[in-house]
Amino acid sequence: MIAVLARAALPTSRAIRWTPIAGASALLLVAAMLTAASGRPADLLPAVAAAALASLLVGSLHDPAHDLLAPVPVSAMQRRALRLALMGGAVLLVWTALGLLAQTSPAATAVGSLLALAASGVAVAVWGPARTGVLLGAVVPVLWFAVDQAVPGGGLAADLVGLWRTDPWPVVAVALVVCLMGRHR
Amino acid sequence: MSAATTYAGVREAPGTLRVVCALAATEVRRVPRNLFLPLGLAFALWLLLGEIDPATEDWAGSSYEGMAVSSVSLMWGISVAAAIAFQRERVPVALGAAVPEVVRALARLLAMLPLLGLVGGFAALVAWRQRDLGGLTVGEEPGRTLEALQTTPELLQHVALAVLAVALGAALGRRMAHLAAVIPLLFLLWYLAGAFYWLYGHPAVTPFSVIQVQPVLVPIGPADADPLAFPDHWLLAAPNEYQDGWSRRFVSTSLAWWHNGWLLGLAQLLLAAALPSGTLRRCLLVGGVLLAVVSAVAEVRVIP
Amino acid sequence: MTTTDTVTGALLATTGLTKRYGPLTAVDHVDLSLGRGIVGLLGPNGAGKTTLLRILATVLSPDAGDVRLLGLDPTEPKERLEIRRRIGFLPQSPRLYGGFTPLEMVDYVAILKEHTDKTWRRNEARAALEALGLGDRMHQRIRTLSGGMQQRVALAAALIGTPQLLVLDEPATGLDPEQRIALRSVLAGCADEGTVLLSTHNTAEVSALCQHVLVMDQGRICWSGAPEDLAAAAQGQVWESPHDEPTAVRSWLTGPGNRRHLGTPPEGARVVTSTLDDGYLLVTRLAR
Repeated sequence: MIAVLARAALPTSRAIRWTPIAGASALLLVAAMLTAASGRPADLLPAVAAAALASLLVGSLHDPAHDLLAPVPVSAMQRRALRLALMGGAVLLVWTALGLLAQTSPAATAVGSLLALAASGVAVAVWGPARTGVLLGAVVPVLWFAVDQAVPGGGLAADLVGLWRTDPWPVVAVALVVCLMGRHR
Repeated sequence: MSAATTYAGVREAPGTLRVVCALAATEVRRVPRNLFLPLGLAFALWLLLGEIDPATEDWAGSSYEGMAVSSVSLMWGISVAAAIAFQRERVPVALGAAVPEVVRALARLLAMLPLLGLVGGFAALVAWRQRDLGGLTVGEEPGRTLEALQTTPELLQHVALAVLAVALGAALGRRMAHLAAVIPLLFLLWYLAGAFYWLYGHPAVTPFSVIQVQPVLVPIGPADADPLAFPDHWLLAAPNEYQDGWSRRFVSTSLAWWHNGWLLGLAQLLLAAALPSGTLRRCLLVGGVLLAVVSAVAEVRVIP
Repeated sequence: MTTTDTVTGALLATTGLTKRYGPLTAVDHVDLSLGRGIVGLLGPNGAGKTTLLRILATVLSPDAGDVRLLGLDPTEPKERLEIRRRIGFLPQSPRLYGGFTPLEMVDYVAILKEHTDKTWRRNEARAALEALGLGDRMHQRIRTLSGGMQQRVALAAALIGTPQLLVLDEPATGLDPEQRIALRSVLAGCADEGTVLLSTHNTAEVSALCQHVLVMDQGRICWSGAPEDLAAAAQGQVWESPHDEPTAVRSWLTGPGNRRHLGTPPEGARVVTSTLDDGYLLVTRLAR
């Protein structure tokens, strides 16, 4: 199966739309350079970047030929994994560059929060309805970030919506388990 | 036989305006189905009424600045609403019908008018909130006021931003293949414009920014300069960890008016990207370039 | 090599197959047993044809009942994988990658069908595209092709690898008459290797192509047999007259001043030879 996926990697990479991630990366890197030049701390920038990049990563699961490819031996989950691996590599490169360019604390650019948002989105995309699952999944990271920004701190609700920042790895683990449970979807 | 029927089987063509209105009416009913709009509005209201408070502000003027960017989440919601509406135009429906694509696009734009009304209401709420708080603080001693109120063009920037939000959503929705990419891009654009507004506060950058947050900081002297030597009517910013010398906090009505012009120019260019090729598109392109260039030049000239 | 069900000898067999969407039963206790050859699936819109085909293509799981495809059980992951290596599926309104050429698209599907030999893949993809009349378009971007050509690219993708079970949901949609004829000869070739199950609304297609026809309505198979038997099912129950007939279960205009009726003809009626359309209309009407 690995050999098949390796052969499918190049055409799959051509089937993925790279323009959105390229545009978002350019915006984020320019913003990182500007914040660094201004000399002000910008810990919110990696948080915004995590939400946007995670959302675009989940959005890359959108496969127009899904219906045609549904009954091939390479399962939908394996095809999703291939897309995530290809897009994930690019996202991690952008994330690393962002960490190097922006003047932020090391905790702000830890990869856990990015993975927590992305894994949650993928879990929703896997379990969501066939037609709208990817869209719903792509919305999860940005919506979670926005709600986290809006909920006043100090209460249980704030602790819960802030889990992707404060305890990302348990979120990743739960999301991965949810994804594995839906591996035949 | 209806009044519109002239003879058996042939219907008199209704006017374009009536067609646009009928299409816009169906579109208007779809707009509230967008989840991002109420969420964005709720967040903007929470920010304006709950979070922005001069009594707890981090620095003199943060409330004044915060009110200018308080509508950003609402702008995201509006952009997403426009993107969803214009994404439907990518589906070829009734291509042979008498109503051309440009009329359909105009109807979708018309359906966004209530959203501009909503933002107008939000701007009025901002104006009321400032008065309710008894004015806002801007500047540091000896150049300081405790009763600053945003001017009409500064308040109208929310509406100009809403026009830009509609145009941005329309362009991305029409030109990009899937909403799963459009929504995060819109999120990124609006959050970078709003949450990092201080990045665009430099006099050289602010004419070309999306959200212009006054006052603009204009360097006026070194750290050891005597602040009492500056004109009485200047609002001042003392040296701190982010600026080496004294700066003037420059507030200008004409700068705000011209910035609204800049935003409307950008909106026209984006709308041109959302519309099919034709006369209207060319007019928008030419008009947008002219308005944006004239407004930006005027802004540069206004800033001291 | 074709594997058949060890008990029935069928390449495709279902028992009590049922699929529900909330209160709607899309497929309702369907029993099938199909061997080699081309089988047409007829039925009105919403009859459950697409749901049935998606189950038989292993894309959808049934809520109840048993399925055996090529002698294997698709509910078992390992056996489903084996089935997927040996079937071809054309969904209704297939979508493709607009930036790919037809050759790249079919080659990509071949990779995902676990064909690793690049030369073999390319040759097979070329052969499939040429058989469907796309030999001169295989290097053109898919987004620049017409709807009918895109349909043929998807068909070529379904045909790659000589599948033993070919499930096609309205394959002739958007094809011109010449291409329909080309499709018929391609499918006839496939039927030598295994089973071709295709859904269609075109009875002429069925009579020209299929050895067996299934009529589906309201989730059930309401008729099964040879196409000529379906036409014969309405024999003696079709007549023509210039006016409405109260005894007819179905009437329609066939030309100025002439109506065709289906049902029990009144005495002295001008009974005419029944067609496949008549048979289809009668069995779907009687099923309700």
